[in-house]
Amino acid sequence: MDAQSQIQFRKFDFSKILDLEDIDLLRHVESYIKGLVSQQPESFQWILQPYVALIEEMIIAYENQEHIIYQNGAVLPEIMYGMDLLPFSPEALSFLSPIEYLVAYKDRSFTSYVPEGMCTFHSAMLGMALSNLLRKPAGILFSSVPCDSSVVTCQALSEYFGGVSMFAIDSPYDDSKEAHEYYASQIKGAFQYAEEMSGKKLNIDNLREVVRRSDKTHELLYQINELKKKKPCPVLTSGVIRAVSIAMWFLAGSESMVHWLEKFLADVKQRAEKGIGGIFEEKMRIAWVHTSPNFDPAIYKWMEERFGAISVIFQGAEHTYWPTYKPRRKDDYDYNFHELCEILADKNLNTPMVRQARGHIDYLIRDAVHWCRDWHIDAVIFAGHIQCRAYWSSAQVLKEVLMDELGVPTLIYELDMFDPRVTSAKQTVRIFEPFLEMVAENKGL
Amino acid sequence: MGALEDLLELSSANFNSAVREWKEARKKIVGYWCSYIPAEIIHAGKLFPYRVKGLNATTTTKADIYMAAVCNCTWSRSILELALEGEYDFLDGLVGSNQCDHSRRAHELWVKKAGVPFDHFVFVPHKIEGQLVLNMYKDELHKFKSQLELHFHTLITHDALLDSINIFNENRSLLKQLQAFQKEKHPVISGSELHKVIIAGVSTPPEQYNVLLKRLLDEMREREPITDYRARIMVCGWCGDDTTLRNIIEDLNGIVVADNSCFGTRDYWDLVEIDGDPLDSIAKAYLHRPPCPRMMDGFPDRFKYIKRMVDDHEVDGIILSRIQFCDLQGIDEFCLKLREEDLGVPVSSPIIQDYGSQDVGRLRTRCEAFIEQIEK
Repeated sequence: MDAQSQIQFRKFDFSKILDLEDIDLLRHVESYIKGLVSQQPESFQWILQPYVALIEEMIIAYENQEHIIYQNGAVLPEIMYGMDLLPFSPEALSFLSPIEYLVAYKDRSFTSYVPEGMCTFHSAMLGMALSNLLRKPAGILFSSVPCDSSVVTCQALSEYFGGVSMFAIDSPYDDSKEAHEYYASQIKGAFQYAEEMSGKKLNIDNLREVVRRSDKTHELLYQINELKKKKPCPVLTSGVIRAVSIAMWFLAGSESMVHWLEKFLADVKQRAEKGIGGIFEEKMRIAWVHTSPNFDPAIYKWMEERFGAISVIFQGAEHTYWPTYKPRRKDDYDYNFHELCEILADKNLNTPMVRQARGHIDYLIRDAVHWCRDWHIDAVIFAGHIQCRAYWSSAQVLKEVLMDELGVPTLIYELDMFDPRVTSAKQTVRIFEPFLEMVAENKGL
Repeated sequence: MGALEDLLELSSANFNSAVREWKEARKKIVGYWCSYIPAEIIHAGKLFPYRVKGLNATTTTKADIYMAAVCNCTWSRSILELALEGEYDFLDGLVGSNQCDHSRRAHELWVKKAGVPFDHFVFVPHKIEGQLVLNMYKDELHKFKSQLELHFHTLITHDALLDSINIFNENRSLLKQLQAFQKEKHPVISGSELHKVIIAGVSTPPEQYNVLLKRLLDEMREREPITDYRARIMVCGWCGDDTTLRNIIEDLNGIVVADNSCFGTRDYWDLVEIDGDPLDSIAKAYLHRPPCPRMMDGFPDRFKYIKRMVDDHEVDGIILSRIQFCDLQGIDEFCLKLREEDLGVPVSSPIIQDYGSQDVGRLRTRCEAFIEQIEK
């Protein structure tokens, strides 16, 4: 592993006792994010704009929206944008926090009987609440997807805040017309709930505009993803993946994300036309199924440098997998409220992770086959987030199908996507090395 | 043999004598995973509704290939193991649902890897309240009924459904009479015996079960009561059809007088009230039964139910238990600990176990420590 020595993996000191309660959490995260961005080369800083946009919006929402409604990541941000409010998802704080703090809040939650096997996204968020860092919301808007952990986190929050009112968006299991109609009705209910809790009336014209922008973000990302089929992949995907995730999960429907994706697309187009790939020569193309490590970007750099293994697909962020893509829309978006809810329902049910975890195992498998075939993938890494039951019980079948149908090998390994104490960066590359060597050998490299 | 012995025998094996007799009569058996799948509908099609269990699974080696042991519960893996081993080959059909992430995938993997002659999936909403939710569930049950009719060439008529509702209601009433013994100062039946009786109930044709329950009630009226227990315990949590924890508590001279489990009181507490269409009545009753932690809006109702159980059964303390990796029970326990004072009795910290627990010593220590704290 000679090349490995040239790459510095992040070191964490979890022995430090952090002050978890006496901090302004949102400002703390903001300063961490801005510090992170400023460390990047100037030419790269714009790529991280979604991080900044998200934390800034969250601060405005938290400080200015008296009747704040908490929502989970699977609830469309378009609902609050449609209400002319800013969404506030405490889960996003798990996504944005410095790793040392995230881990400490997760551990904090366990001291109050939050189950240790629970998803870090949720346990860390509950740890923040238990540290009195989140004020009592007016309401809680949660979706039943993608997992049991989402199903119960809303109950935990509601009870913790003394029985705060809650509205659950219940997700269907299949993709029938009735199922989508059921979900659309739930979204309708979510708007009504948001009106009741916030005291604001929905402006249908505003919602139309939000849906139009949301569609636009999807179309732009779709085009970017189409360009990723080119060899070499013109997107340094591993460098932008979290930004894309933030944009699509938490900010879709906002104007700033349309602009960001337009800029992103223009950049990718230019690179594609010139045949520019990443920093290292592309020798093999990797798809990450389920999650990927978020705690150390050096892992991707190591893969690229050591093996020319370029991460082309990230299942958790490929938001444009719409079976119905491109959905037909009226130019003027002259839709009534029900139709707008139907559009949002279709979109939400096809959001990555929501789509693959909510329903039958075949959704995940067929989607993975689609990505691997159309994006010319050489190998798959199933990065199994250690608390994610539905995905983990798909892994072996997925591996068998990918090999049988496409001859693509899959590495299955366990991690906590946020917590390096489960599988550290150095351990990760030790796990990857023999697998990628095998892929290289099979490709005659 | 007495009725209790008969019932204990029926609860002790998957392929029990009732299953054997049914198969010998060349009749069909349909397995189902979750208590939100109404057995009445299966029964009304002249089929034997049989709840799948992990009984006597001694390993999960084959299941672990597909359901990683890193985060999937041992109950689901045990059942999948039995299916992959062919132990459930006597089933003519299998009905899954989205009860939890573990079991829904175990169902799909069973169908994919072991195969069943008939499989169906019932989507159960994660909410209780609202007409929309009720309608969705009703539609699902109608689809389920149609699929059963189609595959098994049977007709599930209005009258057959009414008959089945009555038979299962009788079954619930008899179980409640049995449960009523637990309210007495000196109960005549232990919690672990009652648990096994309940397990037998989901593994036996309901008509046969009702006969046995009536005999059992007669026997219990003559039985010597249990007088020398140390504390009256309610078990909140879930380890499915595994009686290990109850056995341990009662070995320590505690007595389990109440529970909050779908292999327990939640499954029989409320009758199906017939109000118009029988299928609609079933949907309403099942959706509004004491809720499973999977119901996102269910905690307030569940809390009231637990509180009522505590008061009615003069519970001295609640033991929280859950199977490893169960988020649903885990957060339910978090919420219960938040409201411990309102319950008015001590609540243990959660005892985490695996299905068919091998680590009896650890569980025994935890239970003993708790009983020592609460015994009078």
